[in-house]
Amino acid sequence: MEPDMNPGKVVLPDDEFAPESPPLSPSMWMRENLFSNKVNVVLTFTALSIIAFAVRNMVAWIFAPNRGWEAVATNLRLLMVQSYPAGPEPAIPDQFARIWLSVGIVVVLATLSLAAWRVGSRVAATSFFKTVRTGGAVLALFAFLGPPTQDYAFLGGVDIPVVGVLFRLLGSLVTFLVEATLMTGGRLVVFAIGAAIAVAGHLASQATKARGEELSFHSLFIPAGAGALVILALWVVPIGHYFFVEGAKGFEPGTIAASTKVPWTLIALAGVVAYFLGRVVVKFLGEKLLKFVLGLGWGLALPVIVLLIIRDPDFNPERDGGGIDFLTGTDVTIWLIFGVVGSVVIGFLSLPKLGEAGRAIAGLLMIGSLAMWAFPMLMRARLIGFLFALFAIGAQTFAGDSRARARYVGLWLAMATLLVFFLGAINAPGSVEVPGKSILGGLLLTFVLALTSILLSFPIGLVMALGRTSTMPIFRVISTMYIELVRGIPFITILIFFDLILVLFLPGNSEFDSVTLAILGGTLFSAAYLAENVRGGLQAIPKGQYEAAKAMGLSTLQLTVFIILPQALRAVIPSLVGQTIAIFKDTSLVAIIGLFDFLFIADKVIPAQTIFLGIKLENIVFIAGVYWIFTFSFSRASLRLEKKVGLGER
Amino acid sequence: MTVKQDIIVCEGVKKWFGDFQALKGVTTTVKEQEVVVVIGPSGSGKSTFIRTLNRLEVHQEGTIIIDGIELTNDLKNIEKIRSEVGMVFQQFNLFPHLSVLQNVTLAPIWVRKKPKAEAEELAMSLLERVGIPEQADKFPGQLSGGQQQRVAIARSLAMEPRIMLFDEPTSALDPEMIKEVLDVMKELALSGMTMIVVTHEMGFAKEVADRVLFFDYGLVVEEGTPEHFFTNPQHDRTKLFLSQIL
Repeated sequence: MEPDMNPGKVVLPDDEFAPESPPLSPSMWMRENLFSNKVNVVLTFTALSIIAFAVRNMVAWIFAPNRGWEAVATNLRLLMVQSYPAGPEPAIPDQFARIWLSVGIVVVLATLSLAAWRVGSRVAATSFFKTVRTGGAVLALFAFLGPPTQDYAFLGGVDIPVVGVLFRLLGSLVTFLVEATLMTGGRLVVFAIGAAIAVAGHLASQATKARGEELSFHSLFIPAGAGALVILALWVVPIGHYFFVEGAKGFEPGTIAASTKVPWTLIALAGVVAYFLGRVVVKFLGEKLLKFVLGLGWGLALPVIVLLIIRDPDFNPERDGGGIDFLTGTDVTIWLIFGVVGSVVIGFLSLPKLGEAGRAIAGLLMIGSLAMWAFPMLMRARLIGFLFALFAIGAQTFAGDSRARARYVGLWLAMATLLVFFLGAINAPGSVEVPGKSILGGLLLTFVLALTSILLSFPIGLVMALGRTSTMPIFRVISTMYIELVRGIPFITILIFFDLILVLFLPGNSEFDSVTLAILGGTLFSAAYLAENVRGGLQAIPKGQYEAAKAMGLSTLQLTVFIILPQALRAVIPSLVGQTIAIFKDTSLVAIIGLFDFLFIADKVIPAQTIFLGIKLENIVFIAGVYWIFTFSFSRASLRLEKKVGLGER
Repeated sequence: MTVKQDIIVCEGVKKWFGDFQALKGVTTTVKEQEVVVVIGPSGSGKSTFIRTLNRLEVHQEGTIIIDGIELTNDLKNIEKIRSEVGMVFQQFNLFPHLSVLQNVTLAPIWVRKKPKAEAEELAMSLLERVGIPEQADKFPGQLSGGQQQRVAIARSLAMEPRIMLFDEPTSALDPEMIKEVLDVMKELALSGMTMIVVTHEMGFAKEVADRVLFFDYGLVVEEGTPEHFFTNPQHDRTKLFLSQIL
C-alpha cells in the first residue's frame, strides 16, 4: 500500500534497508587517491621509487651470503635471559623451567582474561579473505625487489657532470627492470608463495561471497591461527639448531631445538585450553566470578613469578645461609602486626559512627608512623607503617556500608601481605647462582625493569600530579621541586647516581643489588614524567565538575578519587602509553651501570665472542625488530582500550 | 498554620574578585518552603550571590546563616551545609564517566553512607519523579540537554536537601527543552521545597515565585511579590530592565 502523501508528513527512510554505498573498484580507488592530479602523480611515483629502493637494499642486506645471522641464532638464549642458569655450566643445574613456567602463567592468565572480558568481535569472512588476497599480492610484488644478482659497478663509471648522473639513474632503472624479470632462486619462491596466497585468498573470498555475507568468524581466530602457524613452523621448518660446543659453533640440521619448541608448544596449548575453559566458566558460572578470580590471579602472579625466578622454591635457609629466624623474626612478625592487627584497627576506624574521632585517631597514627623514622628500625617497618597510616586516614572517607568497609579492610590486608612479601623478597638471599653482577639479564631484565618501574611509578606520579595542582602550597612546592629536578637531569645521570652514590646516603649496612637500584631510578624518573602527563589530564577537567561534586558534599579526597582521576586518566591514556613505551626502550640505558640488558648483549657481548668477533649489525637489527614488535602491539592494544573507555564521554 | 522559620539569613554580604566588588552588601532572608526568584542583568552579582550560599564562592564580609549554622572557614560546617543544600547548574555538570544511576547514587552512598541497594531504590524513585527512569543505565553524553538537567535535579534531590539552589538552570537549553525542566521545578516548588532560582524565565517567576529579588550592581535593588514586581515596579532600574525583557 502507498503511504498517504498528505503534505507535512515526512516519510523517513527505513534504516534497515538503506542501500550500502557502492563498492569502489581498485582502479577507481587508485585514480581517486594516487593519480588524482599531476602533483599527485609525481608524488606517487617518487614515493614508490623511494620505497622500492629502500626495500631492495634492505632485502639485499638481510639475505647477503656473508651475513652473520648465526651469531643471533647461536646466542638466542643469551639475548633472552643472559646467563640465567640453563645448563652449560656444569656446576649449576638447569633451572630454566622456572622461566618457562613464568611465561606460561602469564599466557594462561592472558587468555583467560580474553575469555572473561569477551575480547574480539565477529569478522566477515569475505572481507578477511580479501585482505589475505591483498597481502599475498603485495608479497608477490616484493619478489621483484629482490637483491641484484650481478655486480653493476660499471654503471657508476661515467664521470661527466649531469650526463653521468642521468646515465647512472637510467642504467639502474634498466638493470632494475631486467633484474625484476629474472626470477631466480629465493625470489621465485617468494613470488610463488605470494601468488599462491593471493590466489587462495581470492578463491576463498569468492566462495564465501557466493554463500552470503553473513559468513563470519571470531576475530581471535586471526592471532590464534598466526600463533598456530608459528608453532607448526617450529616443528616443520628446517631452521636448524645452533649452539656452543666448548666455545666453538655447533650446528645440528633439522628443526629448532626441542628445548625451545616443546615449551612453546605446551604454553600455546595451555593458553588455548585456558581460553576455552574460561568460556565454559563464563557460560555456566557467570563472568563475574571469573573476573574476580582473574583479579586475584594477576595480583598473585607477580609475587609468584618473583618467587619462581629469583628464589628457589626449596630454598633452605639453614643450609643455604641466612637462618630460619630470618623469616620468623622479621617478615612474619611485621605481617602479623601490620597485616592482621592493622586490619582490625582499620576495620574499627571505618565505623561510620566514629566520624571525626576516627580521623583524629588516624592523624595520631600518621604522626606515629612519621616518628618511626627517628628511631633505628627496619626500613620495611617504616614503609609499611606509613602506608598503614595513610589507609587509616582514608578509612572514614571510603567506608560506607558494611560491604564497602569489608572491601576496604580486605584491600589493606592484601596490600600489606604483598608489601611484606616484596620487601622481603627483594633483599632476601636468592638461591639461584650465576656468575656476574645479577641473575637477571637480556630481554628478561628489560621486562622486569620496565614492568616494575611502570607499576611502581604510577602511584607516585599520580600523587605528584595531584600535589602539583593542589591548592595547598606545601604540596605544590614539594611536587613541583621534585618534578622539575628529575626532569632536568638525564636518565643516565640518575641511574649512575643511584648505583654509586645512593648507598652512601643510606643508613649503616644498607645494601641493594644493582637491579633494585635501577628499578628505583627508573621509578623515580618515570614518576616525574607521569606526573606531568597526568597534570595535563587534570587541567582538562572543567571547573564545573569540581563544583558539582563539592556542592553535593563530597570531600576533597572523594572528589579526587571518584570524579577527577577517572576522567583525567582516561584523557591521558595516549600519553601514558607513550610513556610506557618510552620506559620500555629506556631500560636499555642500564648497561651504563653494568647490567646485561637486551641491547648491551647485542651491542657488546656477542661482538666480543671469539667465534662471532665483530658481528654487531645483525644483532642490532634483530633486537630492533623485537623491541618494535612489543612496542607496536602495545600501542595497538592501547588504541582498543581508548575506544573502549571512550564510552560515556561527553 | 505553623509559623515558617527563617532558613537562610544574609546580612551585608560582600564579595570581591580582586579589585572588582561583585556583592556590595546583600541583606535578605528566606523562609522555609519559600520560592525566591532572583533576576537581574548579567554581571549584577546574582549568580555570585547564590554561589556564596553553599560556599562555592567565599564571601569576605557579612554573615550568612543557613539553617542556624553560620558559613565560616570551618570545613565541618561547610560539608554539613553542602549536604543540606542542593545545587543545579547552568551547564548541568553531570559526571560524564558515570551512568545516570551512578551519578544519582554517588553522594548518598559516600556522603550519607547509605547501603547501595537503598541508594539505588531512592535514585530510581527520583528519576521517576523527574520523568526519566528508563535512562538510568545510559551515560550523560547519550541524553538530551533537558534530560541531563533533569538528571542533575534528581542528583541534587538524592541528598534529600532542605534547600535547592538553581543557577540559571534553563539558560543552556534549546527552547523546546526548557519546558520539561521548568515543569519539574514547578512540581518541586509545589511539594514545599525551599528554592532560590536565578533565571531569566519571567513566566516561571510570575507563576511559581513567592518573592522576586531584583539584583543590579551587586545589590538587591528591589524585592517583592511577583504581582507587585511585574505590575508596579518602584525603582527606575527595575522598570528599565523589565521594559527591555518583557
